[in-house]
Amino acid sequence: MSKLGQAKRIIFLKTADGQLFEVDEPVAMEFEIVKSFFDENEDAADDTVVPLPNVSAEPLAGIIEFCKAHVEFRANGAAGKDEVKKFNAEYIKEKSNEQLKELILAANYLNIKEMLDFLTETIANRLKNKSVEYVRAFFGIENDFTPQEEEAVRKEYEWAFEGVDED
Amino acid sequence: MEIDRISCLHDSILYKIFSFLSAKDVLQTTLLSKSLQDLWKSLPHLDFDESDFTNEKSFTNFVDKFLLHRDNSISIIRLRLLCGFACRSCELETWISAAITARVQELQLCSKYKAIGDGLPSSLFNCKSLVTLRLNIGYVVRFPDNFCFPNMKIIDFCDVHFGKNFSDQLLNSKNLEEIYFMHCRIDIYNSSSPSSLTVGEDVVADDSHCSGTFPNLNKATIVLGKHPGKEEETGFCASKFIKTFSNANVLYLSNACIQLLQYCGGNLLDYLPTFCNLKRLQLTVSIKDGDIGVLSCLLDRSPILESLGIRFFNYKFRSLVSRCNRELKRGEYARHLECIRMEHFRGSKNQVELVRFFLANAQVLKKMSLYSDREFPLSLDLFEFPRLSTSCQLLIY
Repeated sequence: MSKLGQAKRIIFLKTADGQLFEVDEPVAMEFEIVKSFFDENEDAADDTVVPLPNVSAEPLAGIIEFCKAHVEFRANGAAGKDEVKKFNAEYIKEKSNEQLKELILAANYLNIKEMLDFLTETIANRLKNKSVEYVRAFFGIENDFTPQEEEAVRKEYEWAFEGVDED
Repeated sequence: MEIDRISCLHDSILYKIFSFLSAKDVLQTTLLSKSLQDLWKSLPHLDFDESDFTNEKSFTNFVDKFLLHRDNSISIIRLRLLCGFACRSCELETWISAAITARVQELQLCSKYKAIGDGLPSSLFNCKSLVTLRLNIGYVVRFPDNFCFPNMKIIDFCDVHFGKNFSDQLLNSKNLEEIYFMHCRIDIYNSSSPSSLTVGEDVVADDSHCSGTFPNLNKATIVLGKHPGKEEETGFCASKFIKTFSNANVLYLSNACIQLLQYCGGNLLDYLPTFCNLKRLQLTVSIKDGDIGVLSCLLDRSPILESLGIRFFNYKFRSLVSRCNRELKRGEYARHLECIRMEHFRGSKNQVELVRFFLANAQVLKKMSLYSDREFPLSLDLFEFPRLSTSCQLLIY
């Protein structure tokens, strides 16, 4: 929370695709990478632009939306309550698998623990009871098994494969 | 570019994502690619759910093989076993031993149906690596007299029967932070007469530095089942049991606990410890005088209490003789109590008197919320009751 009579500090972030974001300090400090940038450069001017060479504008906008909401939840003492769950459910509802992957890569780079935990669990939920082909496609993993090798693995782990959805 | 991004995923995130999958889904990853083939063996979170399998045999076979082939040099952070059928002790023994070998930190055993068997393997009760233990296995587990959990932080038990040394032995788990005892029973032992014990000395020691408890205890939830036995002994054993957890910041006592404490009768206040860290107290009480007497004693022993939650419980079919008659007194707690919540408020005489008492005596009360499940006579004008704390809000839902 900002102190009364004191202007809120704004942090400037610049994405890989050259977009400039103005973010309220408490939200930007959710990003471990930004926080340590300012910890290491204590005398950084207020209008210092923090470069984020591994993040593009679209996922960053999504991340700011998430962190802003969660900073507010915490300030209102609503952390862990139903409205947080509702927000989280709404937040991911419209996101495609592709968008989720972009988000998790960005959240990982920015090092935002809370969001990373939430995203990994969300992705895990989308992979539940899915076929190998689906999971490969999801992560873009190339199948480097020959049919014979794959058959050998299936045989070795026969006890593990039964009743899995084909998509 | 795409390949680089995915290999980022492989290293750290993929591992994390797979930690959220059930063991059955995790095994699918063996077929993803050569480099991921053995990844499942080193995952530290194992989640076995019988409902993922078509029958009991394929489930037990799966768990057997999984635990046998995983890399046990990697510690198990969490092992969860959810069985839809009765767990047999011989299988549990093998699985638990494997988990202990892999220095399991959190173990959760849950079975939906009544299990056949003669209990849990003894190795479980001396597991040094355990930090969290959750047991709900469908039959009453008789806790052994000797056990040792030096690193335990959270215990969460349902249907467990404790021997008479349980609380003393548990004190060796110095780091305990949370306990949840649901429908548990404690052994009522014949300790000649409770009055022959040095109760007075205990109380003095307790008042000075809260000894014999857990220094880091945060939450304690104690829901006891019915206890047959001689009343005074039962009451004494219950108060001694609760005393072990008197360092808690948050305490919940079920109505059965209140009933057991009632058996202490007029001596209750002497048997109770001082809850020197207690900030939040939640109770389920009836509106009978005896329960109010126990409430009064508990409040007197909670000098820094900030929040009190009372869920009223209506006895329609039980008539209870009041053994602990004591009116509410204005104690130290009245200077700290900020928030009171009452559920199932029906406007009965004792309930109204409670409201009147707290409004008149709680000095810094900010909020009193009354939740009613049916309308009560509006002639009671609770809003007219004098309030000692001028900033106190009274809310009725």
